[in-house]
Amino acid sequence: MTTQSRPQQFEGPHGPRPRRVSPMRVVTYAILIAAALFFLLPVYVMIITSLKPMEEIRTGAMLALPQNPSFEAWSIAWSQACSGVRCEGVAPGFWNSVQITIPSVIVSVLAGALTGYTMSFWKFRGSNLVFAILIFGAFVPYQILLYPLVRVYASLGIFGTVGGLVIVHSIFGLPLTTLMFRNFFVSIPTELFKAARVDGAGFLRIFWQIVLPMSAPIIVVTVIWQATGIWNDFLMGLVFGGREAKPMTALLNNIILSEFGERRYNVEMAATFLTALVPLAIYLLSGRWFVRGITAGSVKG
Amino acid sequence: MADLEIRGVSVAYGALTVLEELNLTVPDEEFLVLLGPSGCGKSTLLNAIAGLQDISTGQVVIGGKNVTWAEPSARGIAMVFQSYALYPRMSVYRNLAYSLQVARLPRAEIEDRVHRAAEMLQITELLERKPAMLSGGQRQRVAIGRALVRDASVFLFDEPLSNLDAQLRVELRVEIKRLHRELKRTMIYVTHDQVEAMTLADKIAVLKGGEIQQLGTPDAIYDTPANLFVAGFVGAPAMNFLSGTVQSAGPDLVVDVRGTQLALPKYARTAAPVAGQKVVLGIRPERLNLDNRLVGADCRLTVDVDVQESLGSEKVIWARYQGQQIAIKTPVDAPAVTDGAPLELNFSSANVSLFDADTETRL
Repeated sequence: MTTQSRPQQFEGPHGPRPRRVSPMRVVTYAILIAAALFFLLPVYVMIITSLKPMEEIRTGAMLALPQNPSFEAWSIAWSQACSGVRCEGVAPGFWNSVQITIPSVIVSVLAGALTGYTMSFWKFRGSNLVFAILIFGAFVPYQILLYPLVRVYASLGIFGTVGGLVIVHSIFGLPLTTLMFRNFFVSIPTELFKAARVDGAGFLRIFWQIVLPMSAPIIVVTVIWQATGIWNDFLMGLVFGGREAKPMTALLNNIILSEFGERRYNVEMAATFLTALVPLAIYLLSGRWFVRGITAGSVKG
Repeated sequence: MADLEIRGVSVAYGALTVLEELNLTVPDEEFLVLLGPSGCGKSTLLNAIAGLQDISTGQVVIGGKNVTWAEPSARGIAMVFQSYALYPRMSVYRNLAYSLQVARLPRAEIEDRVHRAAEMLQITELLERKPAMLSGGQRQRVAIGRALVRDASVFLFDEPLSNLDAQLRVELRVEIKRLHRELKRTMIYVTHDQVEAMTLADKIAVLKGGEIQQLGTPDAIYDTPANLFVAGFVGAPAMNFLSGTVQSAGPDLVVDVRGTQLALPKYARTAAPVAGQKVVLGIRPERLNLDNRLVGADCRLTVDVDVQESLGSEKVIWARYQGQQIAIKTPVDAPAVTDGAPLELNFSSANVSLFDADTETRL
């Protein structure tokens, strides 16, 4: 017989499981802390070095805190450090990078969304083949394309312009953004798309009014991905930037390479940190979104 | 307000043909249920009618207008999907209004139509909510409402109740039936649930392998199935099948079912059985009786009781006859039987179905 009355006293384990610090947990945390220190130590050295005057740096106490912290090196790095004959700091590169990154991100993300949407919902004969070819583009080493592209750019007269770099980044970003969007769209039920068609919405209307508003997580991920990738790009900027359109990374490299005499470590550290600041800020501000977007679709919403 | 005609429609995915040369006519205001197991092509047919699935041959005619090449929105249809397919970022109101906004109807009329549909389905208080804040039953009501506002002449339902729990399913089933009575529109309803099919349909089309096995009223499908597949697919527990041989095919039809001679004087033949022909005799579980109360019972069969299941409202006795399983559905107050004991059953020859064992079609 099944009975519904409970015994007064339970034998053996009962109630919530007691929480204990297990040796496994201690080891886990020890490893995590060690890894964090390993990556944070160079950052620490960079920051304190950039805040020290040269006299303090010469003493060689790399890990010591600055006696008289000052932002002088940062100011020099931003607007006075020399790259070759020009002594304007990394500032011109910063503005170039901004002008390159913003339109490139917008174009590559929007184009990727539209292509991914087409590949997912408006399949045409051979659309899978087109998709495969497009994805293949993500694996072509850039080096193969550099010289031909330089020739094409020269003949079109867009070599060494911000616009030229925007085009390069938009095109090279497309395969990956398309892949990301398509994989996200796979999780959207096709019935939703069918319902919109019965309701009379067309290709672009479904894209703007139904699909894009649902795509916030993947838009955030691709924007972060593209923004950091394009900001950090060095190769394209070096090759296609010419003299005027060099992004911050390429300019930073020039500044560090063209120093002669005593190396001004504080200025170099400050310039490097300034360059890294934008992607760093993006990650810090949106890390939560990034993780959420990467795992989106794996669990039903 | 519109009849529907499918003329020789074929659908193929590459080398795989899902529908072949299918013909179907649905008169105005009829409720047609497409019933079949998964993969039988019923949803494909519905999508082809809606224009969401390209067809390789044939025509789709709605209300006398050839809409074979028309956009889904231009066919005068509305559709309800299994997964509700509500737009997640829009409020219930916008979900309902969307098709009207796309069609650029005047604002006042949109509001009027949305509120009328919402009242019909009792979802007026939900209009400001987002779909994520609704329960499954409410979501499907909204999805039906979205079809209502379109004021379409043909309503298409693609397994609309399959995602709901049993109680809600019954509730919404009744609602759909009432809507059909009030709206007087042609409705085509896809399901694999025979209870939905039997309760909702004016006519049922049973599909298998992309072909219509039988098209008829629920009673015709249930009582005189056209072939073994239909007989076995509709009804729970399924129809009992006994293999046998025709002994005499004259005016007094006699079938031998593994040792028992059954005379079937009241069987309405649709084809002429031949003596010696291998046949399958089918009889519904509820047509089998334990006692002699049934007037006109002219057949007897002795079986061995296996197990018994009580369903509260009725009892199912599982028995064996010559290695074949027999289900008997009886009222709970029927005489008690003992497991393992022999049991004499009686039934009327008017209630059996005879099928050719090879072609599986009704005789």
